[in-house]
Amino acid sequence: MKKKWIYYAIALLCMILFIILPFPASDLCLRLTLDEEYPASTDTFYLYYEIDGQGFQGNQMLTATADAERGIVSFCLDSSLQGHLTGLRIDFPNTEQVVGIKDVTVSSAGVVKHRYHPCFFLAPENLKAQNGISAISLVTARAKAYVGTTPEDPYLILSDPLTLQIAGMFSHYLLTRILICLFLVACYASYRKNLFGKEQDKLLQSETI
Amino acid sequence: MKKEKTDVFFLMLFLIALAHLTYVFVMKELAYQFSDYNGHVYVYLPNFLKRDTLLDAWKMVPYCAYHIVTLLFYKLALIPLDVSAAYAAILFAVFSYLAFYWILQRFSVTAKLENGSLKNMVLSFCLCIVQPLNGYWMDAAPYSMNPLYNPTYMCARGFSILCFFLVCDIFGRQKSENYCGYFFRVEEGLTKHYVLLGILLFFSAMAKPTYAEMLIPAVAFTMLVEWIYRIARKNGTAKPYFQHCLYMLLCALPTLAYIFLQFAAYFLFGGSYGDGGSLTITKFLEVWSVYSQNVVLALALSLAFPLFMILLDPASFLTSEAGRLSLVCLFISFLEAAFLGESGPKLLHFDFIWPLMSAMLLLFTVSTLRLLSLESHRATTLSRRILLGIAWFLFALHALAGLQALTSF
Repeated sequence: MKKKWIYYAIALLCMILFIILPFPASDLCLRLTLDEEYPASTDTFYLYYEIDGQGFQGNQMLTATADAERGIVSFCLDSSLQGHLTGLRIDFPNTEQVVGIKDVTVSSAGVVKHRYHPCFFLAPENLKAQNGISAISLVTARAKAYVGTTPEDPYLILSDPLTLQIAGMFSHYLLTRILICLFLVACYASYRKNLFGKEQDKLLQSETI
Repeated sequence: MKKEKTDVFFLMLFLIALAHLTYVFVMKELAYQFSDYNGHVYVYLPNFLKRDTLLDAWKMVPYCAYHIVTLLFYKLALIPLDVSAAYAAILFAVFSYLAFYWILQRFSVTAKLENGSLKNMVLSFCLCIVQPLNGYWMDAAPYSMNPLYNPTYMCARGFSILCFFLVCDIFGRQKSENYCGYFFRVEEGLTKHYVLLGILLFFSAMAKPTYAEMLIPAVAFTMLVEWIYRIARKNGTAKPYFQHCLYMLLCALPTLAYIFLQFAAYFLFGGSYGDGGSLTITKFLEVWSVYSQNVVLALALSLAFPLFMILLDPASFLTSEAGRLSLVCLFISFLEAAFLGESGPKLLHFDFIWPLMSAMLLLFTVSTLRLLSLESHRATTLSRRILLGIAWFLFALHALAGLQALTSF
């Protein structure tokens, strides 16, 4: 009996250590879902990221084109940027057009961490600066934001609070680790409780004595 | 007699449905330039047509069962190449369906289940098409137990199912003279079943060697552990059991020889996109993490139903031959996917995920059998029926995902 509780304690300690010990971060993906009425599927979008307040530099950039089927522009920031990300700048294609955005999500470790209303994401208080943008229309009733771009290097720089919020969403797989431990505990509990009764008729078993 | 005629009628209906869906899917895939079907049919297969390129063709794709069958339709029946490819895929899909159906029917009879043949037909159809749960908004990128887009894997599927349950019955018989097989009549002796296993395994390697790359180590590991356990027990059963180990090794030898030949063709004789490249050990999940942000989530989405069954009835998966072997297969194949790769440009092809896909299908099938037996013999209380209902719900979600994958055009 005493041995059993020692084993339980060891198992519990291992699980707690597994959960609380530091774990490498996962990549962070910022996704813009474009409105189907204003497709920009062949154009290239850019995401410039600033590291440690050193300004936006040419080599710190990601490119993406809209997925043809769903109109999603995806940028995946490497996990090594966690703790260093201080600025985000979204560059639109260098053409005169209206880009409709109907959804903005931030995901990490395979799941969506936060979904931004496009009108909130592109609200004036969430933008630090802009260039080459003729107009931003926020249509709250339709949950869409429309960005009018010009051919002169159109971009939006996100505000510091918004950037900080996004930068804080790098996942360390905490929930994944908790769920692994819960699953193992649940399996053990199910094994002990024998939910479906004692095996009488050797289903799927060999008839070894 | 009347019931048998009705059974045949409904069986034909399901086969027609499966054949139609497969045909439309393959024709759609062939139209896409970068699909596996397009590559196998329009790039690899034409090399098999000319005598002077035949050896090169074999070196590029030594697992050529699908290609040979397609060529038979093309050359002997003079059917256009794309239609021949679809017919070959249908043939193997029908074979897989019948393999699933036969397994379910045999299990229903020997385990005295309450489900009828129509239910088994539906389940067989579902098992042929089940896919992982997934959404485009997730970056988990789960891998499928039924990658419909790959002709060679789908070709090997029927053989893989039959091999697995034959091994389970052989294991049972090796351990007890009183064991009467659930699926095969092993009570009549094991010799012909060893021969059958050798043949099925060889055909699976001819279709795609990745199944054997998983099953042979899994069986070897299982038998080794069993043998060591018998040595430790010192009850005199270790020596006779070792003989069984040797017989199983003999079954695997032709397949192993062909797999080594395939590896030689790939890495030594200049096959597979030309010279260069070799087997390499990677960092843990190095290749997989390129495609999936969360491997655990990916596995959970692929195996939601089997994981729930393991949660409901873990004892069965630890003590029964089929349950235990399916878990060992999953473990071995996970290690292969996590640590093995091909160096050079083929590293990101992630070719060592295929064994894991096979293992997932086996676990899925074993879980389905377990669910059927629990439903027939153990659903005596409301709480048990609710839990089993949840299991069926998860199974249905996988089947729905499969139907969506098959009809998304």
